[in-house]
Amino acid sequence: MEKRGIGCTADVMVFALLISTAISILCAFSPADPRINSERYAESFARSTLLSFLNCTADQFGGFSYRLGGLGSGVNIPFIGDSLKRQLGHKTIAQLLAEDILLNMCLEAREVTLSPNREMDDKLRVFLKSVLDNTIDGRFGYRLRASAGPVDLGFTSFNFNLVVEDLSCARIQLCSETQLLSLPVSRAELTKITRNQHGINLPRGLKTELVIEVSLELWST
Amino acid sequence: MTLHVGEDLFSNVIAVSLLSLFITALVHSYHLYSLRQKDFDDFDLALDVAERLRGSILAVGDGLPGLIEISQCRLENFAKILAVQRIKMRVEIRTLDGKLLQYSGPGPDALSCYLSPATNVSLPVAVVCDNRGAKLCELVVHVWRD
Repeated sequence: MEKRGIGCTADVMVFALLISTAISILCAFSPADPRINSERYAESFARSTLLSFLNCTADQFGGFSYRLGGLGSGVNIPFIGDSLKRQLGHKTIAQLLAEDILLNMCLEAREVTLSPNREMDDKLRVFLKSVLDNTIDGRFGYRLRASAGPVDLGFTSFNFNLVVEDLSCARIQLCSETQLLSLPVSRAELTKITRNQHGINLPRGLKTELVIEVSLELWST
Repeated sequence: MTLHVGEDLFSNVIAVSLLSLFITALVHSYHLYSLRQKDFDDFDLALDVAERLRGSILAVGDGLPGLIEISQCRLENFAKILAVQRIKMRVEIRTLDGKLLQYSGPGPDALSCYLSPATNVSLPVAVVCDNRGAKLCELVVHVWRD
């Protein structure tokens, strides 16, 4: 083979190598399916979902009810059992969260959760999971977190944390949207609740502006 | 340059074929890249339209964020504004199980679809019902260029 032929082939090989590099760069920077990887879409979706929770009642997801736990969940007397049941289908999802926070605050100093309405908390988690599964419909992995507090009383503090998630197929976190809600109770009502449930009187000068922080993280699947 | 029939010609044929193959692959990659980029731009446009509908055009004026009401009149006016920019849209309100509750605007015709495929975006929204309750639905917005 002539030297010139070998040289020509080598040139072409180098040129082909450059083209391969260009192809791989194009492939690497090619945007993926926007419905799966768009952070902007995920943010908008999460914001819409949280805003919907402010307005949609539990009724359209089959309703929500629980039994008051004041007498203990072991009580099984038929006529008392039904009278202890609270139907909350008319409440919005945000209102249900607020009620759960009020009824299931965790007392930190004693490192125990004083939850007179554990049943509500458990049922609400299942309910929220079903609502989110329906709304998100497998488009994203998700983690909903509702928290309040801590309300520092000096000798003790109250707080609340609720997490509902489905991250079974999640890969990358796309966004985290947060919404702040004010707890719909007056100071007098909050004092009454803490006294009745935990036996603690809130100090008079205490600023108890309890804010509920609801955040929704969406993950690509 | 003198071409020697035999090994020289053979090596040149191989080299040119290889080069053609790589250039074809490069053109194809660039075509795919452009398509993806266009998909992304169209999707952004559809998302802009959907956010605008949810946030201002269909929003209930009672200071209730996230709550929308369906108004054919407002949708038609917004469609006219988009049409000036040669953008067409179709809006659908679907239940979470996919049932079509209401729609506005015609779907894309075959020619438009061929020239510029429609992109759609769906967002969850709370829609005001007749009895003043809100129903969680999906706002589906199809957008395409004329």
